[in-house]
Amino acid sequence: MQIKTVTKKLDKLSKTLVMADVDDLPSIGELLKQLEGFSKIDCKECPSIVFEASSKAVALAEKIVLEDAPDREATLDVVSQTVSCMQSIVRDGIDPKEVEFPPDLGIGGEKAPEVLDESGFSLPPNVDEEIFSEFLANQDSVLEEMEGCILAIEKGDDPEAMDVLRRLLHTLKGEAGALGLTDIGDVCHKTEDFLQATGSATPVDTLLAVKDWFAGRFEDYRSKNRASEPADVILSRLLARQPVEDEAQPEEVKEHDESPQAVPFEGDPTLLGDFISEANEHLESVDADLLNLEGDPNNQDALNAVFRAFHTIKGTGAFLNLDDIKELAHATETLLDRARKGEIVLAGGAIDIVFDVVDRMKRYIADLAASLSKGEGLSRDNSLPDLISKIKAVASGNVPEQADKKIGEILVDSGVATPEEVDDALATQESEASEKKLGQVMVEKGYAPAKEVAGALRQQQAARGQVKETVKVDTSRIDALVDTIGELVIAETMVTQDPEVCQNSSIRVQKNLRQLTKVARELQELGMAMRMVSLKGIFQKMARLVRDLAKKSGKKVNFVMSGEDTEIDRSVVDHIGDPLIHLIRNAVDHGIESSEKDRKEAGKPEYGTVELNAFHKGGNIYIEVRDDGRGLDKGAIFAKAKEKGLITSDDTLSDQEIVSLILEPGFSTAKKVSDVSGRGVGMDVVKKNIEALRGRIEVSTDPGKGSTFTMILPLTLAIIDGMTVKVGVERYIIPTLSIVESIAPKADMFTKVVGKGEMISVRGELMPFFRISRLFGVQDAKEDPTTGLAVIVENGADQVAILVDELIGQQQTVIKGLSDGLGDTVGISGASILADGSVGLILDVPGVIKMAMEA
Amino acid sequence: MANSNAEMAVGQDVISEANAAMDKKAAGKYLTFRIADEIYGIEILKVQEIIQLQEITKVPKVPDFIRGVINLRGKVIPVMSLRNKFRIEDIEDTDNTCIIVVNVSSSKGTVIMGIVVDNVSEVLDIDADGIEESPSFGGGVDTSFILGMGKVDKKVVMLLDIDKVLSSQEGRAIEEMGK
Repeated sequence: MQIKTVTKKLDKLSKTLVMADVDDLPSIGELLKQLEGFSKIDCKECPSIVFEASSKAVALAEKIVLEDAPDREATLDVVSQTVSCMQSIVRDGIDPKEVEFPPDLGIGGEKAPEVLDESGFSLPPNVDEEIFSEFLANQDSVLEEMEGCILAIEKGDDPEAMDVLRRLLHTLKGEAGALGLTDIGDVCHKTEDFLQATGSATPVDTLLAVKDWFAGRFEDYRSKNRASEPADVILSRLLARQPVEDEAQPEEVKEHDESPQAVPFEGDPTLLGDFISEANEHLESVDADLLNLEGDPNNQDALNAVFRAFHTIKGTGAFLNLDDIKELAHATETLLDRARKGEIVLAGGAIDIVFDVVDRMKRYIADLAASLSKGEGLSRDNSLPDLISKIKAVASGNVPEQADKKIGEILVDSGVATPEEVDDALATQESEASEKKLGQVMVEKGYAPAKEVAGALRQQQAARGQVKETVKVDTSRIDALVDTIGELVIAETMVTQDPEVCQNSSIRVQKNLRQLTKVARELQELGMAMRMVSLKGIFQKMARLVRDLAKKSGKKVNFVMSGEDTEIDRSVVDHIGDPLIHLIRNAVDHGIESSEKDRKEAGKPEYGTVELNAFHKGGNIYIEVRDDGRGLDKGAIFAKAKEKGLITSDDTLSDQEIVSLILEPGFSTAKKVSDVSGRGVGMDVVKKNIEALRGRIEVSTDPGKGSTFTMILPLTLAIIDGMTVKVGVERYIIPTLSIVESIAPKADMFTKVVGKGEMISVRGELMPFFRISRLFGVQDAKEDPTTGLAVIVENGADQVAILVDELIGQQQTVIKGLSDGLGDTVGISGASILADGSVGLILDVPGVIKMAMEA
Repeated sequence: MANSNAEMAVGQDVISEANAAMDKKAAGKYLTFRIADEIYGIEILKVQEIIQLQEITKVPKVPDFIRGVINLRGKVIPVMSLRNKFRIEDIEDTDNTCIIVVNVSSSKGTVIMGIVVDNVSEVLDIDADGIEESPSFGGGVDTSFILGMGKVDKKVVMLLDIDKVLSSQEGRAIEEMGK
């Protein structure tokens, strides 16, 4: 086919495009037809990329027709951009490499090399693999923190969240830059600009999308994959949402590209080159000096050095007609000058902005160097006026935010001085324009004793230095350490409780042994603490989940969490994610009423509340999911249970019975119940996971007012809080969590039920009664129940009494798994080393109950 | 010698098919012990240590040849009685009774186990010439857990393939055999 024909076809296509409307399907259909026809053309004179682009466009058009595209208008735009690119190649004969296809298309001249780079991702030569993996490992917590900030911004209740987010982005940008992860750096940078442009009205969805993109990208890097979602998509999203008045924004994206507004260099290239290297040196030293200043705001030498550096940069910049540099340096100089005169203190927000300036200048100079080597002009940076006005604001004494508490605040908080006194002192300090610090003025005026001021200063310093130092350690090493400590504790117990040692009456020996015990216990606690992680991460995820769920279901839901700093064993955290997700989902989906009207009628606030609380109680962790929705519909659960034959009586159900019903597998998935009563889906997941953790779940519900699900979990999987009991010659450990109470049974409590064995009546409640000795075939155990003890244990709603000879004591024991060599053991969940070094078996209460019921 | 041991490990699976060939490969060092009147041997490489008999905690609902679990320096390991396993009449533990801790490879990986024996004798070096193929008792009798019969100074040592002795499948076979 002739190139002329192709051109004609293209022209026709573009006409169709003009007429096309996403809501007018026939027009799109016609477009699709033409595009398809075009992509099948065989024309050797045309570059093949044209046809590649057209087949991509076909796919896009198909998406529009099938209503598969998230934003059909935008997709159509992409198609028309593609067609115009094709036109410029075919008709105007422009080199395909010069033509930039829309990024969404996933092909095109400019982007091609970049994609190639990513597929064969390799670290920059100077970056160590270990550093890189450490960087990646760090990012999980960074992302969590980011998400927390974003959600806080949405709520608008934390003024610092925005700054924290900026700091996070900034750090990430820096690190990514150092590691050569250009796409991450770019996105960070653009997000910073985006935050700058949108201010407090930042669309949270976009930020979350950015965060998700980061998460995906880090995952890609971890698996050394090419980008699953190219940065362009997220970048275009960031740009799309920028306010319209920021017209020049598109130019900023293409900083490195030629743009109509580019300012040609007027200076001598050699001089410029000199300036670049000189300025870089200056900026490096400024960084170091600023860090010094941050630690000691009164370091005049450092301040002067910074001032001199900016002054030099300003001079040379002006000489070379680099207006941006000149203006920026000038504004900074003014700020620093005021700091030099003691009019403002260069700390907190003020010093942050100087750091920003340094970063901005570094970037500018890098851009300058890049443009210089290409021989192109340099575009003007449009974010500069913003930054300059910020600097001016700071220079006029209007510090944006102070990360640290001011000394005056600390004094007021601690009740040493009143706010009025501090204000007065501040006024004095200002009017005298003295170099005296507020603390000094306060002491002179007699508002606060010198000792208190010194204390407050120390507090301020401490707050600044609060960053915890951490070391990353392989988890297997920690596990090995904890294991070894466990063995040490056992060995210690064996020594101290050895009869021969106990007989030794030497005070010295006894004293030393006590010391040994103390150290061993401390070591054990430390070891356990090393395995502990805070629930923050998982709670943060839930916050996000609630938000997304609420959005999806169109409900208004407030999410409140408390106790996210509660620490729990790492192994436990891994298992509570899934149950939590199900509980939260149930609370939002089914718990909270579907319409505000329903809520208003019930006299409840328009916003539903889902609470997630964690706290310690009696050696266990309680995690509570509470909603103020409609509560469980006991009637429907009851009816369903009866229908399924799970219950036969007509009694009313207790909350605990309800929970055991909805935890029944199969029961939960019944559609009827989930429609009527709300709860149920995925509850067996909850049950399985919690059982695996040796925990239990409780529910309380108040029809019309809401329900609370409480997971009660052990602090760790490695230690169990157990009651050691004696049965004949054997000793067993019963997990304290399953014990309800233990009683000394009397003869008249027992009833023999034909076919059901023995029952015991405890305060009017009849429950099955089993003898461990018979179940396990233990010799020499007490046969007469009235001489032994009945321990009442529970598994969900089932309560049974088991007969033991006596209670030996309660202790925390390190759990040892039973070896594989034993095969399946029934009724025993593990073993533990007792104080005398022998092995005690841990009863698996649900297993024992099952065993007894089957026997 | 080390070389032949390695080959021996590889060759264990084909014992029953190629007993004659195996005899040579089964050569090596064996820890010998006594149960009732018989002498048995276990490859020395399988043995981790020998410990004195200590208090054994019984585990309910396990096969009767499992005597229970012990605390081996903080690890809980199962202990089995070879007497019970081989259906030899039980006797009271004596001062000589001890536990041989062995590393058994099973489908789940290496398992540490203790085996209770009447007494431990010595470590014998048995060369290929001293090993005869395990006797065949005719149909229905599985002798695959016996590597071979070692002859040392006119004594006959039954060389056990401890992996097979302890794996439950064979365990059942032994029980069948004993009936």
